[in-house]
Amino acid sequence: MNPLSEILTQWQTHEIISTANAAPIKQAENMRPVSLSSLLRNLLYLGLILFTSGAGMLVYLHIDTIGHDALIVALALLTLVCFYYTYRHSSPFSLSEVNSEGKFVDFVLLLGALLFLLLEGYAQWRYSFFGTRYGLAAFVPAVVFLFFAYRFDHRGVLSMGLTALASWVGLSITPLEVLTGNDFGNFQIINTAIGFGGVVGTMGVGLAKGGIKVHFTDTYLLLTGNVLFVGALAGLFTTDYWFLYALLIAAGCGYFGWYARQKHSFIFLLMAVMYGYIAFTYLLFSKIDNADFWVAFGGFYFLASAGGIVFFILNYKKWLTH
Amino acid sequence: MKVYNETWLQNRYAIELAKRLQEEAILNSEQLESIKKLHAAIPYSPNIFIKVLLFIFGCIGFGFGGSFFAIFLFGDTKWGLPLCSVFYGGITLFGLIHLIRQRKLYFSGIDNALLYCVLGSLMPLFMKISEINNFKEPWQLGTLYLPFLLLAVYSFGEPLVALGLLFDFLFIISSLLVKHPLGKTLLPFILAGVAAILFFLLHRFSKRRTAFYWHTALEWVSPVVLFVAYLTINYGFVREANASLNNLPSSAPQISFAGLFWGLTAIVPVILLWLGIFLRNRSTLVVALLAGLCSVLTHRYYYGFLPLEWGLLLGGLALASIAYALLRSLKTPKLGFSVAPETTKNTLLQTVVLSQLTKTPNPTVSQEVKMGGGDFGGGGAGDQY
Repeated sequence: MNPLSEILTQWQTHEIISTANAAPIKQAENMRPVSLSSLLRNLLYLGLILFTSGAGMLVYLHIDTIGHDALIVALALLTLVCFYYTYRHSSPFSLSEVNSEGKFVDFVLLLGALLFLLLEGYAQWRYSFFGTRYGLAAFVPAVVFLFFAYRFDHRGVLSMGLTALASWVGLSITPLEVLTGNDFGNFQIINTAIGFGGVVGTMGVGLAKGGIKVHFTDTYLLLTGNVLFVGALAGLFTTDYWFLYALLIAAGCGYFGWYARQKHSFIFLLMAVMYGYIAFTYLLFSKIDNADFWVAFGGFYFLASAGGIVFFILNYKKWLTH
Repeated sequence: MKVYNETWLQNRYAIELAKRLQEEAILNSEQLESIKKLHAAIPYSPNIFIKVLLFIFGCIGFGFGGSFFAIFLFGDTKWGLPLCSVFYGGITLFGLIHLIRQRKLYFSGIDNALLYCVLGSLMPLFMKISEINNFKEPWQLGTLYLPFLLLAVYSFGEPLVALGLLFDFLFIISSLLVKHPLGKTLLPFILAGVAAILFFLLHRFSKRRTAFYWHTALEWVSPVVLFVAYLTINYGFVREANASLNNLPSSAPQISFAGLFWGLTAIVPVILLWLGIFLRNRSTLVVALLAGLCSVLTHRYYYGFLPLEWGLLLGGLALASIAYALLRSLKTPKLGFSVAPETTKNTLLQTVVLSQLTKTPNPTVSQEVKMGGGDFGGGGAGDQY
């Protein structure tokens, strides 16, 4: 179906390649093997997740017959084997990115991290390992995962570490649950979300500025940015200090826009535009409290603003370069 | 009329090819630069996130533009809404074609959104026609849409519209078949046959040079057609559909030719796997895997041969082992497949998935803020374990 022959002829006509080169290129392209790399890696991930879920359920169901101690020991051993394997087979520590994408050791580390959570939960349930200091039960995996993420250069384990850290302060930062998983009607939760997003996000950016794992910044900003913006929007909607929250959102949008421009990270441009748009629209509607005005101009506002945003996005490349 | 300029698509293909050849040291950087200059006119096809944004705001713009438009033109005559809607859709289509040519758009989010909206704007007119002609069945409405979908697929080659066309077509066929007792009995076989024929026609067409304009639509529709072919002979699907079509009680009774359907449920995923290897087609392999999974789940649903936890554990182990073995074995390409690194990486998606796995299990029961006050963070574990 592809226009390979025509393109090769064009290249020959413009003397970019010789006639002698065209034939082997055509043959190689037609015989090029189909890569199953992503498919197989995703299946491997899925297999590991199913395996750990099955193991978890099995432990839960057969606890009386197997015996808690035996299971805890088995889990601990398996976890240690995973971590030891990772330690033996990983590349030496480096401040910059270590390219181990798709290597088996990455999957073993991930499996180890998932098993660690299982082990920890189990030990807490069975022996109240952390007593009533539940916070410690979230803090320990956070520290362990963050350490592993930096030592073994694993973005997946980093996101697990940050999620555990958030649950230590009582937040859910999972992108799919930022809205539903937190009670944003609570003033303290709003400020915790903003504080967590601000502090941890800044920490990620600060580490990157110091040249430490620069490629982790996207993960930091994605996980902390959402919680910060949603917290600030909740503050804008529900508290009397709307002005401060509006300023915070403006600053956040400015930063994310700037970052998107620096890194060409489109998701951050998306976040800046979406959260900025929601905040601006809310402010406009709540501060100009005149129903007649909005009946006449509401449709026009949305039409014009949507058109404006589309125009901006279609021209953002120019904006990036100027 | 083809809306997108085919030369842009060819240019994009040429540049991707040249980049790959340069990475493999078949072309040098000077040659790559010359090729980039030669094929400079490429379509604007942004990152997925930008596409999402353009799509959302395209829809918002169309929706509010419509309400704004309606204020001025919407009379209260009985044809007011349908005609107004078609007129507005027509203006949007004109604008869309202009925008595509001006901005070199190609499935950039906004063109997809506006195309769906334009097709949607026909709905009030078709509803009115249905009302006047006293159409009682949904397939009649589907038939009214069919030529417009066909025209849209021909002009735009848009994959979701192509899927819409496919389902509209299959829906019309099924609706006509169930009207007759024999048609109802033979429905699974006829639909599977139609889907299989469609797949082979699409496959043959996709080999032709002229198919290049519709390559995205073909990449989407072909695997879906195959999956439909499988689904129509899947034992569980046939049994439930049979009960539903004949208004039988909610726990679906046994069907005739049960053995035949069980046999097909078992054998078709294997045939699909062979087909995927034979055609060297990744998406057919994915369909084969999905079909295999559906067959296992169907068997489990009716016979429950393995407890869930063992199913997950053994299934996960088998899946991971096979994937790992293939990842190692395909380091040297075999049967036309390899594990050469692909350019698409989606690490941010991984972030979302893993964060979901590490999420707080029950975070909002009573959310209090104090350091160390978070609920337990564990993959399915916690104090409620």
